[in-house]
Amino acid sequence: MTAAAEAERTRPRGRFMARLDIANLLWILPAALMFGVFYVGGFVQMLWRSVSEGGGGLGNYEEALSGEVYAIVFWNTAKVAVAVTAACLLIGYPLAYVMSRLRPNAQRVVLALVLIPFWISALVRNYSWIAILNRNGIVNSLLMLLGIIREPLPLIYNMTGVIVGMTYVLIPFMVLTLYGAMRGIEDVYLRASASLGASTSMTFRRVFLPLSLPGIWAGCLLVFTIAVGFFITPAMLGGGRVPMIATAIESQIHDVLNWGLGSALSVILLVWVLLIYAAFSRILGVKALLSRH
Amino acid sequence: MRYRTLVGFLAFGWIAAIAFSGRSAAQDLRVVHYGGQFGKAMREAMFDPAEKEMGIKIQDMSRTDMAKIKAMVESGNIEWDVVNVNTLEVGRGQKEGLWEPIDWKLIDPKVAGPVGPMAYGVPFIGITNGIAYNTDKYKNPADVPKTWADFWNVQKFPGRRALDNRVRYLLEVALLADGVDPAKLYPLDVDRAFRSLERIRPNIAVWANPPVGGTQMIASGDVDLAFAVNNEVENAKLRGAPLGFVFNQGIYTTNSWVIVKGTPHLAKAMEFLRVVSQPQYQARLAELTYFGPMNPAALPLVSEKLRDELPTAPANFAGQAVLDNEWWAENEAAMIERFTRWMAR
Repeated sequence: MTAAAEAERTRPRGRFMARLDIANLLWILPAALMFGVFYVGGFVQMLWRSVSEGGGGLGNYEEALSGEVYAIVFWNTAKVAVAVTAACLLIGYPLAYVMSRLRPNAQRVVLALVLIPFWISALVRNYSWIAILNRNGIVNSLLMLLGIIREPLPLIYNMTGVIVGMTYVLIPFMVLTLYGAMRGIEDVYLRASASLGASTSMTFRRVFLPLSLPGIWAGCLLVFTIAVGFFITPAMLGGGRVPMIATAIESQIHDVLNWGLGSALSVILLVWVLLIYAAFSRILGVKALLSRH
Repeated sequence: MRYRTLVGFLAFGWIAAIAFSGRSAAQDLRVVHYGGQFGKAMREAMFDPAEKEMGIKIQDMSRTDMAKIKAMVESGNIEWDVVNVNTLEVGRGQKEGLWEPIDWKLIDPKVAGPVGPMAYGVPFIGITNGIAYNTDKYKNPADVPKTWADFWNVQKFPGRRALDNRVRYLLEVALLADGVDPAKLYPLDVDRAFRSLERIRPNIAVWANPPVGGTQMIASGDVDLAFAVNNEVENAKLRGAPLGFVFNQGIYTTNSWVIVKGTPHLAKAMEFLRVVSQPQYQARLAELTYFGPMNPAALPLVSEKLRDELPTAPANFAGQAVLDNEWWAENEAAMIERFTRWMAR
């Protein structure tokens, strides 16, 4: 290896500016194959099923869009997703803020704490919520013991249970996105603001908050998108009262083997999410969503 | 170079692994069931003895998934030979062309019991979906609700209630509660069933996930009364939960064996179904699971004490309504939609 080539390799910008030559294409190949076969291939197949099965043509879409039932289910899904996104933001923002201002070692500890739930099975986490929130669960027992309530509160097997459970699962996504954006906010700006006489709260409102906005939007979009496709938590904590679109699709695929309608519903869900993404990026610009600064 | 060698090794290992896993599986009979305690019981009562009797290996797996079977048959890549399904799925799969026809010349038609031999399925257990209750709450036999009308009667039988969040069985239960004769349920009067459900709706604390949900809700103290499956209640009782079960006015359903279309082990699969339908194995399965044996010759082999707790015991069977699989295969899609709409309101 020549010295010049060595310099080229180690120069930080050089790596990002590399041309898309054959060697680089090879590196992309596994990811491209994976996406091509399992994602694009699967998607094309689903698209085809949605117009070829169950009568064919646009019949499946007509059934999905004309009936009252899927309108209700989509609306319900949107409500849950918005509520969960808002809850994640409310809890996640202060956490990410404190985290980004901590010393590096402390940051690592908090980061690990945020990430730990990721490594525990979703099933276990949902069962834990059942143990905490049910009639004889920890929360109700404690409140009754303290004499705050006489009858156990209905904290689970309803919308409340679903929102609590989903928020818990999705908070890391929000926190990590916000944390990434907030770390990019240099202390210099905050010090400059303070030196110009702004109070702490004013510095936060006028400097920090606006600078963290891209992180907020990106976090909200990420959490919302994942939330609309949620399946296991609504099924376990919803007590059958919270119909979500993923449950409806699952029932079409597994229970009644109506793959045509199931595929049509999936395509509608995808289009719906893409429209929301398009609206977001139209307002903010894709760059704002993708960048960390 | 080093990277390329590494990638080469990985690729080779991957291909070899796939090739070998395919080979080892090809020699066994692959039997799929619903897993859990039920799967373990099947291993002991049926698969182990069948391996000895047939001199083959049986690779048993969970869990049954109709969508997977449909995908296998469509793609021609058959990974399962014999599958335990809800008998309802026999008709549904038949419509989709997923099963091999059963050769009733090889298998004694009598093993199909009251269901009778089906063109594409061998029924092997009977299950009751009935009323489960908390025995601490309803101590006197007189206090225990014994019909669905009792379950609907919240004044006379106070307590928190759970029903399933699946519409199948629920419409039957609602009609029974409204006074319909168990023998004259079908075709279901759907409007009447939903009107009846509407009346109990404010008093349902939880719409539970079948098949374990109802039992779990009582065991955890969330409700006092629930729609539940007899074997789940018995399992919970064995673990010490204060549960009781009412067979009267239960909805009787069955499970069946099917053979996946295009299996390379058709003859072996048929022989397996003949072997596991024998009374001694069915009796053992009943003792381990509390599911009723379908083969009438199996019931006398079950210990007397246990026999009274089985869905197929004559005294228990008498008061039940038998689920009409054909009605549900025909109408379930529409009913799921209507139920979802009703539930979301």
